[in-house]
Amino acid sequence: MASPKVAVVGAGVIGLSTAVCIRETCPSCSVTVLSDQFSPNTTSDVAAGMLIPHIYPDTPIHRQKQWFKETFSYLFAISNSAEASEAGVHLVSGWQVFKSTPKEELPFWSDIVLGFRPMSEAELQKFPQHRFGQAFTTVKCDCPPYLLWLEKRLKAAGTQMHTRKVGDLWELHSEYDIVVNCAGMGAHLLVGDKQLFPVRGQVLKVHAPWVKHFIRDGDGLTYIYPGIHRVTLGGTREKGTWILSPDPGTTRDIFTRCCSLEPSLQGAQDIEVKVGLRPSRQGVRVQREVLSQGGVQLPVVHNYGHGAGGFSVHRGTASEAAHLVGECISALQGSSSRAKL
Amino acid sequence: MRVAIIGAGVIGLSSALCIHEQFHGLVPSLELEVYADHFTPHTTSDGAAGLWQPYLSDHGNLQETLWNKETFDYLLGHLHSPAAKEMGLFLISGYNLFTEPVLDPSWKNIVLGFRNLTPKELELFPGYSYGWFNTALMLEGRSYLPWLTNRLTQRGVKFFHKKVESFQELFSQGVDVVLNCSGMRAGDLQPDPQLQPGRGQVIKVLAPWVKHFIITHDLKSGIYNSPYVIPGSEFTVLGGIYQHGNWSEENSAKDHKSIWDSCCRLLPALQEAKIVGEWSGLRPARPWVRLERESIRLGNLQGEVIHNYGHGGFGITIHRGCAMAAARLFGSILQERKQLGSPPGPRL
Repeated sequence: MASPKVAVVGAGVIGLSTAVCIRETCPSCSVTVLSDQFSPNTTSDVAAGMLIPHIYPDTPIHRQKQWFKETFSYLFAISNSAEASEAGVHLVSGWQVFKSTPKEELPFWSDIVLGFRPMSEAELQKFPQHRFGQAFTTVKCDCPPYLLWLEKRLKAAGTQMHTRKVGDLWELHSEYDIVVNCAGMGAHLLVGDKQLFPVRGQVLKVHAPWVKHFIRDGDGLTYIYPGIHRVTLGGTREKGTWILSPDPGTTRDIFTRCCSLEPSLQGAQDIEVKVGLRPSRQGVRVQREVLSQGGVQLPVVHNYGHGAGGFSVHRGTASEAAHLVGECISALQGSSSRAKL
Repeated sequence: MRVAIIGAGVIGLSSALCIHEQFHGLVPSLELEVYADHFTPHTTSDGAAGLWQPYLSDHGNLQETLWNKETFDYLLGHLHSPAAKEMGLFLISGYNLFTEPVLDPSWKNIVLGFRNLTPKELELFPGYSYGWFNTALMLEGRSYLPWLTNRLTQRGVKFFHKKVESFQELFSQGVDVVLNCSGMRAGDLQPDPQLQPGRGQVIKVLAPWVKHFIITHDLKSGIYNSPYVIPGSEFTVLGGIYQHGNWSEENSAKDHKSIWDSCCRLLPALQEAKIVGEWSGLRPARPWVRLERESIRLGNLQGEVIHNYGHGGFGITIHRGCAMAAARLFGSILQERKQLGSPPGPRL
């Protein structure tokens, strides 16, 4: 197989980063990204893009740690390079605060982020309702810039990108040798995965340039994440809700909760409200599959179900998926040489 | 009782406010007047980035460390007040970088979360092998000075756009006490060879992805002669110039290049930053702050001067502690006058 044709379905952070990894590991592959939405209209564009891992109950911790570590290292290098501002990647320091001391005071990722330590008494005075906290420095990927930067790199490497709604992976079997499913929430219909469910998140993006730190309540529901131009205030975790339109009552509630963590937000201007559906699953599905229909086979690599943790593990899962694509290619080359015998 | 404050930078305005806050109820006819030839946004305080950070060492001036602490604690107490945004006050964290290990600074327990940098963090800054991380405060002069001015105006303090030529000029008009907060130009009012300019130049850029301050140190070149990056609420300040004895307030192309090249080496992404301004100013440098009373006599007339100048590159950092000390000196003047019983003799 001289030049395997790979289709990547999905153009959020998972689809684009997976396409980048495939190009890196298989330079002879021809890669095409197909999606009904591109930035700024993907789920990734709603997310703040903070590198603070979400825990997947069904994925072994060592695998999650490996994904996070790889993603953090990759972004750390970009944040320190001349491309940082174009890529929207920057360091941000801040605090995760808890109303009651968590069971696990040292999360698995504490040695991957920078300068992780418990907050001092003096620092906790800023949060009178909270009794325990962790201070650290991590990376943030601002969207759209990060997605646009990935798109630019893909285009420079000759990757085609087409707006197209793929209804069924089999649609693609005549044009492509391998299909990579990074459809996020779309995998619900595309592959009928009943383990995939939406967790609705509403956020506010406000102008408050004096806010230089992130603040996150350990319960994961209230957070303040300063980006390049806007601060993301969140949020909600509504399981099983598909409603994409913003709810005004929720907006007021988010604003109130964030102002109680950071009173200066009362002066925030220009509030934009956004909603995204986190494509959630008990474990991220990074897996090879060979679909079979009427004697025809279609190798598929799945990379979806990242829920609240997409940005935190995107590069790690993308490189694992690219590796699986490599295995598909070897398998195809093996069977094609057998066919020649 | 008429009190004239010379100077409308952070020192003059904060001293005026402290005195009014503490004494306006106690002294029946207290009248405060601020005299200055430059007001915000044209003062030295307006050009400074506004980062609260003293020099590395207080050289045994424990009093200055105490004033720094008083200022930090005062500002920290205002952080959650509704006035914070209007004051230009917010928390900021960042890095101090060195090419060799150094002793901890006098202010390590004043700031929040002070710690050494980890090896991984030092990877961000090739060429630097040691450093600190801490959380401090920004107090932007462009916001703080107008806020102070508003508070003073509300309290009935009068402002006069005028260059005062001598203390006598004010005493002959009936002023009882003068607060000399004239910063760099204090030498024009009374010669002071210890007061010298520490010229600085800064480039203002748009680099909103930078969320931390980064201050590098070259122990051989001295303070602020090594690149620094300080992100404000509207723009980021790039600097790293300290020229002792240079009175020029003109921007120098050579200094511009030095700042730009060294800051871009430190943070490569700054090459993409848009330049929106440039400014030069004179830090009113002195071996120690002059904060003391002086009785000025001419014939059998006398007036009291409270000097409060020479804050170098740490005026914002130390301002509140000094203003409170100046107010205490004012209080001691009031005490003495009361003890004298009868009103003082004819004024100068």
